[in-house]
Amino acid sequence: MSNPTPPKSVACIYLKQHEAEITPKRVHALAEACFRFTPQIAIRENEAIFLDITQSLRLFSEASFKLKAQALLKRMGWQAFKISLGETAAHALAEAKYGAPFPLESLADFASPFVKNPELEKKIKAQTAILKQLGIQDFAHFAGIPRQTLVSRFGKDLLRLSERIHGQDPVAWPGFHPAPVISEKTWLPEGGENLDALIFTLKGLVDRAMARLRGRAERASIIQVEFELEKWSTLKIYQRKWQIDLPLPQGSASSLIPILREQIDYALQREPLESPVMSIQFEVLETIPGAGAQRDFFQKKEAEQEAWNALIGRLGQKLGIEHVFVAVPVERYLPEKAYRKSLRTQDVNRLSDAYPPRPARLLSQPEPIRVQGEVLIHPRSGKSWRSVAWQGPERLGGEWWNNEARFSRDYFKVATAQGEQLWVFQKETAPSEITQNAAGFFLHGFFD
Amino acid sequence: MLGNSFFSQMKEISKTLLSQLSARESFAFSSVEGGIPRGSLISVSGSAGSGKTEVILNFLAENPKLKVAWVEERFTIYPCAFLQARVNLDRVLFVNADHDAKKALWVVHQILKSQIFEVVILSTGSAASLDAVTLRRLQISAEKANATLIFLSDFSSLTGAWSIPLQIQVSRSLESQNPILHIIKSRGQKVCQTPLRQKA
Repeated sequence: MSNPTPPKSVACIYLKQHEAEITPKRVHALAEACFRFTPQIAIRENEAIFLDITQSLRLFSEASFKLKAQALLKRMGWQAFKISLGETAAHALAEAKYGAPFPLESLADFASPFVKNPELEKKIKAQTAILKQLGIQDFAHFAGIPRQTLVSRFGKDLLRLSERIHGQDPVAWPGFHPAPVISEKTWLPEGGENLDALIFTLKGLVDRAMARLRGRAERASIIQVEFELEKWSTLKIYQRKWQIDLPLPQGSASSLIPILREQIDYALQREPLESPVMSIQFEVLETIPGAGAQRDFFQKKEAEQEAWNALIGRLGQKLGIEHVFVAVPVERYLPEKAYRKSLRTQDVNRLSDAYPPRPARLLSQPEPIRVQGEVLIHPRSGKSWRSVAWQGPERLGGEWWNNEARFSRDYFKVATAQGEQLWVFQKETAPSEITQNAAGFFLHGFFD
Repeated sequence: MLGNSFFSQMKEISKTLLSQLSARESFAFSSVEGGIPRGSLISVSGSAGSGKTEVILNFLAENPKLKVAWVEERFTIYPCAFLQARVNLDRVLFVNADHDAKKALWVVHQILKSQIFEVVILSTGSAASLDAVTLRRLQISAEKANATLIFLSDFSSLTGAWSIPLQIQVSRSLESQNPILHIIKSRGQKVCQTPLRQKA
């Protein structure tokens, strides 16, 4: 009975770009973005990234995993690469480097899949030459040699390799620890002054940074953009820097770009660039835990939350964050302080049973009015109303512990002949003393 | 005879289909026959204190699942009044445009673009910024987002604007003090007058 084929549980992203384009920083950034697929990642310096995708394959098929990984690689600016899957890191690496069937030279990758070891490679090369002299021409032939005879014929190194090919001598995965600060930088050799072009370039940086953040399952809460200017002799400062403390953390480039554009556009209108921009750097200075690395396929909540954060961020940037809010009722009797502003809908309690009648429109400050018989006069606007019915009073008072904040008001709902309903109060007046002609009346709102 | 029953059956089916279609294309509102159309602009006007906000709050109370963005050009709305009207505050986003009509319109566009809200209310103090081009742009945004944009204003100068299919003027009854809705324009409906039907 033949053994079942072991499942492919390791993916190898083999980077085939020109050597100069493969820098450790870029490879590490890509590996960080790959955290979205798995927490188990290893790097073969400047050559390949290994992902343990045992769990990912429960969510995606091989083909869809490859498509997702390809999209991510392109997003991170990689064009030449090969993605292969194998039972072990060495299998996946050999598959990516040589394709099936593996040549005997691939034994070097089985000897040390995670670290390039020139000395070991030299040794294996010498041994493969001997194997070839003995008529063992390819990898499959070598793998088929009975292991009992290997030590006596070729020594312990080749026995170990044979065991590794059969999955019996696994290599420990080295740890991968991403840089603490996410930073993306690009150079503009021609120099750039046009805002649209600069934002277009910045978009690529933000997109890559957000892909890395997504891998970490985090969102940006403080970001920084830095323009490095061409060093003209007339300039004293060669940098323009904007640090933005986001009102709500953001996790996507589409939500961040409008905020950045707004901020940079405003700053450049006030103080234009004095020389062309030679480089742009985007940094995420502070993060908070964000959406999970794996999106929830069955609920829209995550996407909705992202859209909400993006909208609030954009509106808050333009209007000031105090002007965009969800109202959270608080237990205070003073009407103008009976709610607080929040940015999270989760802070709001659901409706309870009874609420006192309150006007739909409340003036920012109560405005004094004069009450003369049935007529209410609003001196500031010169408007007057003839009252037809007074409902009340509803006494609201409190905060007696604070001399400045303490208040006592008798509120009335006044129906007028014009068909309007006013919310009026009289200050510090006992019910027995209420007369419509008494002073101390204020207009506080309208039942609109 | 057979022909008659066939036609009556067809009539019934088309009636049901039409009612289903109108249910999908509008939000229920017992005070307005046919409800409030989705993906379009609506105008609700009336003098201060006439009860127009009360009308909107009643509409929101009848549709408890709708997410609402409430944009105020001059912020006077009092969120605590929503509670008495049985409108949960966790589904309402308030935006204060700080006395700037242009900003208010920008905010409305951003909100519609986000496609988070089914109803956007713009409480505006001046009709000057709402020219035909602006209204058409807003109409397109509302259509794309399949959201209803309600203009809440003291003036009725939007009367006759072709891009607004439903226009309601509100005044308060002197006897009962209840708001009365005057439907001054409605596509496919008769112009009529109806008292606000409060949700029990």
